[in-house]
Amino acid sequence: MSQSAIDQTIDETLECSRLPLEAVAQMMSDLFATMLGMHFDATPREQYHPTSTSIQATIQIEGDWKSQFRAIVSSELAHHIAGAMFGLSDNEVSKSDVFDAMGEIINVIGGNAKGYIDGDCQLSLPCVAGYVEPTQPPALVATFECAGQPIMIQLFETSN
Amino acid sequence: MKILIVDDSKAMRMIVKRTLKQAGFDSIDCVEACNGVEAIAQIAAENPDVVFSDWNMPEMNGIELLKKLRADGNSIKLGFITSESNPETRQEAMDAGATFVITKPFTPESFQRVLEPVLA
Repeated sequence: MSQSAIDQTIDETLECSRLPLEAVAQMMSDLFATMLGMHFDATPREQYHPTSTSIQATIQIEGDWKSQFRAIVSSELAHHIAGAMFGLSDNEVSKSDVFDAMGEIINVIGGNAKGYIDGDCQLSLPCVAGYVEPTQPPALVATFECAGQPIMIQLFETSN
Repeated sequence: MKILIVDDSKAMRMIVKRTLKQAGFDSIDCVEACNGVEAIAQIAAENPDVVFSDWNMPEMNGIELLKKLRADGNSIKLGFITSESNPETRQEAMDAGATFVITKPFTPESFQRVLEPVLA
């Protein structure tokens, strides 16, 4: 599939049969609003279009459900999330704080998602880096609003 | 009361400490470790009353830590604070001798409910 075709797929909210979008929205609301005290709107909105400065946190699920979750945010929102986690203002957090915080975000999302799947699955350690365009269409994609900024979740399934 | 918090995420160790205070456990002395290997050293050095451990960590993960402690005859209370929410993980933890399992994301209320009998 061409990159433009993949990009077009990501332009719309996509739901995955194995993981309801409502479940993703609820786990993210619990994470951001309940645990971190951040404003979170669980209604899917217009898709976020990442830029070269966006931050991407990735985690793999191996075993009976081979999949990959990605959370993509602006650098500004990543700093804000790290600030909420560390109890610091956005300009006090370091790059390592941002990477640590975003890694924990995708770890919680991946761990919770794994709970919806029957079968033997293992969660990888998270990886945080700059945004990389996907090489395959996602099984699920949705953008929500956190602290007034978009946060995009993508799920890629590599096999059943 | 001394608690050892084991998590490879500095952010999560801070959130656990903050949530303990919000849950009313504000007189607790907290020490920290980044993984199971560091935790074993900290348990020997600090003699904590309870260990709060993440599940997924580099070097030695949480369940490996618990199994190592029990194999060495150490019966210290150890509970998991983890994003792993499936029943199989919870069962594996309890079968290995865990005292409790708290799923992330958590709240001060969920800490209170689970930890009051443990920390009393």
